[in-house]
Amino acid sequence: MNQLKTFAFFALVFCCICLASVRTNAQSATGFTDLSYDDFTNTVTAYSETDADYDIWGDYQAYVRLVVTNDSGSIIASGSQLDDFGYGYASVTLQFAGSPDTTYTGTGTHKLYAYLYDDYWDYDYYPYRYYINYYDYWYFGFFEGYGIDYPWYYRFSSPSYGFRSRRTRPISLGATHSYDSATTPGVSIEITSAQTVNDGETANFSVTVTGDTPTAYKWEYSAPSGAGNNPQVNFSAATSATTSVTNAHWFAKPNEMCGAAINATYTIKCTVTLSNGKRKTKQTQLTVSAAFNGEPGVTEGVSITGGPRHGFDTSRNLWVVIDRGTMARSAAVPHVNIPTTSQFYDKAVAHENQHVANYNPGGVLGDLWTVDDLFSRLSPLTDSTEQGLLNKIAQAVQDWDANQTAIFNSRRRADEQAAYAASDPVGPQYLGMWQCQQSRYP
Amino acid sequence: MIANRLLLCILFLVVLQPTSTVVGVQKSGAQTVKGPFVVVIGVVSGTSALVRVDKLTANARTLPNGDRIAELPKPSEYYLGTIYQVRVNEIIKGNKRIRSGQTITILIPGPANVSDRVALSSGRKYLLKLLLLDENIEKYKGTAVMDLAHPSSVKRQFDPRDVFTVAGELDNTVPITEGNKELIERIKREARNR
Repeated sequence: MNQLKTFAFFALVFCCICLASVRTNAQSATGFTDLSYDDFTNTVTAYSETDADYDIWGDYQAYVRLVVTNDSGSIIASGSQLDDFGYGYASVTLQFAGSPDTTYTGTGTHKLYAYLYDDYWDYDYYPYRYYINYYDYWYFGFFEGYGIDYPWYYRFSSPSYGFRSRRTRPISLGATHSYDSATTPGVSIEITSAQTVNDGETANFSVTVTGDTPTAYKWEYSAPSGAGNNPQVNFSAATSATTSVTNAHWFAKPNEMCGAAINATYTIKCTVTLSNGKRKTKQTQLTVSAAFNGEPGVTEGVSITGGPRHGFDTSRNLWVVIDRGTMARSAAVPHVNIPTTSQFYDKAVAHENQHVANYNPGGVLGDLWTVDDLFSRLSPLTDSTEQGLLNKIAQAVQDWDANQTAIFNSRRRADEQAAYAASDPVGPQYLGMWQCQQSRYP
Repeated sequence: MIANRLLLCILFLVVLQPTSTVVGVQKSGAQTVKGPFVVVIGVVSGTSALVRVDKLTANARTLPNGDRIAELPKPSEYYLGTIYQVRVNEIIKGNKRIRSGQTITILIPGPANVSDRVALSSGRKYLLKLLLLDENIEKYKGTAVMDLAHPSSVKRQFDPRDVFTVAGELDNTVPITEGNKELIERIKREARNR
């Protein structure tokens, strides 16, 4: 019988080695732990059990302790049971609601304790003594204090068969552990796709979290290292699910006056704090363009409005041009095509205003499209009919306008150079500088 | 039990496989240029104006005091744009309507005397980023092409078909000069990679 029991013990140890990843042994005991997740009820169920070997049922008490931790190492649930009724096993079941995207790990601790045999007071001799006796048929208590957690690494035969009695704490027969884990479904986080806006414009970003109710949001940005012109992103609501980047700011990369790229791309990140305290980060891109869909501004040149006074000269029997009448030189009109919020706005305004000023007397274009010059072309015109005179006036205006345009085109470089001289001192001193643009005006 | 778990793992990976592939796809940034465009190098061979003929007249108006005024034609009303004839030397990025050696027509809409607006000089070579003009013939009804060198000469009708305009972006007309060599190479690279 003893040989049979010894054989059963080692056979059990052998089997436990084979199933090491899922079942572990104490001395003559097996244990396992199982974690499962029910996504319908969002419940994590953790179960752990210690089973005494059949041959030692009734000889020892099975004990199990189950501790469940999350992936931060915090204990979420725990429990234990001692087999007080000689069933040969002890089990514990824990259930709790799962947090999203969390891996729970259950650690089962499996032990066998020797049974309490009896306890009594010995009044035969003074001082009276209290005795607690345990059964330890297999003398497993011999191994106490050896620090044996994984008994299959040792030759583990029972030294002898016998009854043991002592008056200290219960005899622990070593412990083994088993593990299992379960991961709850992750949350889905979507972020606004990459956007491109002009400098000074507004871009909108948002994150959408599915499967959880986040407790916090944090928007951040980064720019490439070495970028010039003070990369900066202002979030309207840096701690909300939805935010705007107001007054998008173009930066210079490489940090060169003329060599900087037209498009500056920031990395935009949103860190979401989930209900379980975990943080998830999503990122997208914001490209701030200094292209402005073409020229930042234009200036419409001056023109002659109204018309000369004309009438019938009875002395010459001809329709003639009498005087300038309502002829007037209209002012040049600047148009700035970029947002007022753009860092380039003041620069563009200075540039276009100088184009306007170039039409002033003494300016680069001051002598073009003047009333005096046009009237000098119109005043000699005569015709026998009023319509004939009007036709000649129209034709003269076309000819003169073509001539003025040709002169204007020949002075474009000078016109631009003067405008850049006014706008170059205005920051930011990148891209829209004479040094960078003069080659466009050969 | 081990076998069962292994099977579950394999099944789990198989189920996840297509999802992971979709999630892993990076969305590319949107193109900023709309519609087809061509990039060519060519020499400007002629300049003319697109005008609205019915606005090229002077009209008489009587003031309250009885004076007769000859209202001058307003360039803002009659001058619709400048037309350039460009002989194509090199096609960086083309379409089936354009060939090397061909003379193409480019319209720059708007008044002529506008600072900072595209202006090309006759006889000069440029790199040009072009888009096809809107071919809506009705839009150009009543217009004519006027030779700027001889404004009094006979005006011919404007046909918008196969006419180009410059793309609305920076560096759409770059003079071919030594100083622009680097810029031109960059534009060529970008155009070929688009």
